[in-house]
Amino acid sequence: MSIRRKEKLIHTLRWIVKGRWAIIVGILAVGLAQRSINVVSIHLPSSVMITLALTAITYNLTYYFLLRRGMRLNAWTLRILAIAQVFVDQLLFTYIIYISGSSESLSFIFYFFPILIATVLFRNIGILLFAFVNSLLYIFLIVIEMNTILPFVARYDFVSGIHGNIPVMISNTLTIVAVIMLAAFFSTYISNMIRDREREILTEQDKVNSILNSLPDGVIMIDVTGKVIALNPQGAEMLQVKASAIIDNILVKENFIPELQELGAHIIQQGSHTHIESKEIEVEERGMRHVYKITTIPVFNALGKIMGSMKVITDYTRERELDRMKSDFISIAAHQLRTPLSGVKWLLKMIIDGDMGPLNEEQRKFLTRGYQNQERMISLINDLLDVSRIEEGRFKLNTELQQIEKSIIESIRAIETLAQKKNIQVRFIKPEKLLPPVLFDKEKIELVLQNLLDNAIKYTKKNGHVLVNILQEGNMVTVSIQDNGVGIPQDQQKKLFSKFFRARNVMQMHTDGSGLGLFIVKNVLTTHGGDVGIESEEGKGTKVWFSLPIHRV
Amino acid sequence: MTQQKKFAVLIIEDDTFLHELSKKKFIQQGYEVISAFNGEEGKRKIQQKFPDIILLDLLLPEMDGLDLLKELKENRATQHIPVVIVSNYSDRERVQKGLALGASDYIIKAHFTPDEIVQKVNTLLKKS
Repeated sequence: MSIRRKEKLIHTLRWIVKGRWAIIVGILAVGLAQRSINVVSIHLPSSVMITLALTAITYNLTYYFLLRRGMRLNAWTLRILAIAQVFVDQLLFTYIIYISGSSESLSFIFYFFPILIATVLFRNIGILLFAFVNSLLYIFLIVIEMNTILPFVARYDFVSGIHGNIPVMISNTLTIVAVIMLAAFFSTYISNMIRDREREILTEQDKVNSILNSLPDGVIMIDVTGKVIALNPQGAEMLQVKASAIIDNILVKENFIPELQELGAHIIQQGSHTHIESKEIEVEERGMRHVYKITTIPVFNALGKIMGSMKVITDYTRERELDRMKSDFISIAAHQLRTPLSGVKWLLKMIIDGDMGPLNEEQRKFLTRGYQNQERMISLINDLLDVSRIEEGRFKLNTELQQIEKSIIESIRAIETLAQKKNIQVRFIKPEKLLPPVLFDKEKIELVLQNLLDNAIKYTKKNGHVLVNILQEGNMVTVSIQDNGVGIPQDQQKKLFSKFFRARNVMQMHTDGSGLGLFIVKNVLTTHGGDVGIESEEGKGTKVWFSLPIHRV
Repeated sequence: MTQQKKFAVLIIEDDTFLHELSKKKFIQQGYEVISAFNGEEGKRKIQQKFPDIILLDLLLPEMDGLDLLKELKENRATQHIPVVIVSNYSDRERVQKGLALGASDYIIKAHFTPDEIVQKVNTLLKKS
């Protein structure tokens, strides 16, 4: 017998003991009530009644004390206890039937109690067997009473005519036996139904448990009162707690070791009951640094009522370490690439500026071309650096609630020289009333603005114009940059934001683009919870817009 | 460029080519240039004579640029000397750390010309 089944059996037996107390009290009350009615002659001396009651009480107490030993009892003792008590019950009820008039008695109804108990404890054959024993006991009682082996105890003060009338007695007995057997038969049906349901629940529970236990993440479920409902082994290991010590108890910070106090505080926290939250926590433990991500998920029951929250604890140590290594690699690679490039850049600039002696016009012209190529190389490296930062998911935002106007003005100032060279007018149409501040990363959004303005100027012919507009639409602030430049062919517009893409018509105009600018723009805006889009007509101009949420999403 | 007083600029840079170029530029612009090729040497040169301004590279042999900056800014005698970080590192953490430690400016070498660096230095010296 498995431990779980044993626990269950002990639990059931304890309930039966409790139920029996109710039966004893009930029958005693019925007996006392009948004594006060004249027609029904209880020819039972009080001493016998008291003895009977005491017997029942003693025997139920014996069970009670035996069961208190609980799990220390072995399986066979428990089985015998289960069978014995049903049989003893049947014997006691048979005796009660006898002293209340045998064939005249209505106490055969009490036989349903042992059958009910058998239904809870046993299966089909067990139940039918007890019903059969029961029937035998009853028939035996009637037969010996008929043969006057036992003296007849009359139920009524008058002659009922049942006792001694053989056909009536046989007919009554058969009816009662039939009812007992039918009741037992019906009980087997109920018992099977209960067992099926139990099995279904257990399978379901097993399924849920095996899923929880095989997850690589730690899972802990806390109800609305703060009590732990479930904890998988991974969770117990990560939190360094013993599952048996905290399940079914209110979780408190004392459950956690000192190093895990911060982590513990986040586990105890109930969290939002409306949406999923997650937080990364660093833990320093025995000289080892761990990064845990805790995701708090509100859990609702089938009726949509909040049950509590589930915390999923993921070990992010390795991922974060890899992130760090990658970003170190990228910044060192960029550093190493830039160092020789800056040497060449500085040298060319100094030669062009005449710091190394006079130059003729042709030399200056070619060196300037060389210098421009060098600049292209540097900006390519910068683009690649941005792209690799995006791709490793480390385009971390440094957001602050601020006015976007200021960034627009600064970005326009940065490209002014470029615009003046082509005599392109860049105009910023300021909104009439101050727009609400937006949560954004200044450096990143200025990168976006400069990219877009740079494109607008690059792909607009001399004497053109660029308009920058800003407006509020719902809970978004939208910035648009419109030029009257070369535009983008319709069939190329879809691919604009993909990496290394360059439109056909501009490839010939400017051969030096990396095709990374808009890819970076798109990524910056996506990480901000914003959006970007383009409307363009070839030959007429392009309007690029991007939006940022006013409230954090 | 005529100057009343010749300003002394200490260039701490391990890359000999970049070092030579910036040295030439600053001398042409009328500065007195003190050279150091690693952090330790830079520290010695400062102790010999306080420069008016320091151009500091970050990735240096012997002693890291940021450590040297920290020492200079913690020392009462040297904390007044403006330090301009001239490095090719551009990651935000380093830039922020440099500025937080008390650097007057952070210049990414590849993004500036020697001319522009001299202008920055001029502006900083005018202020002090």
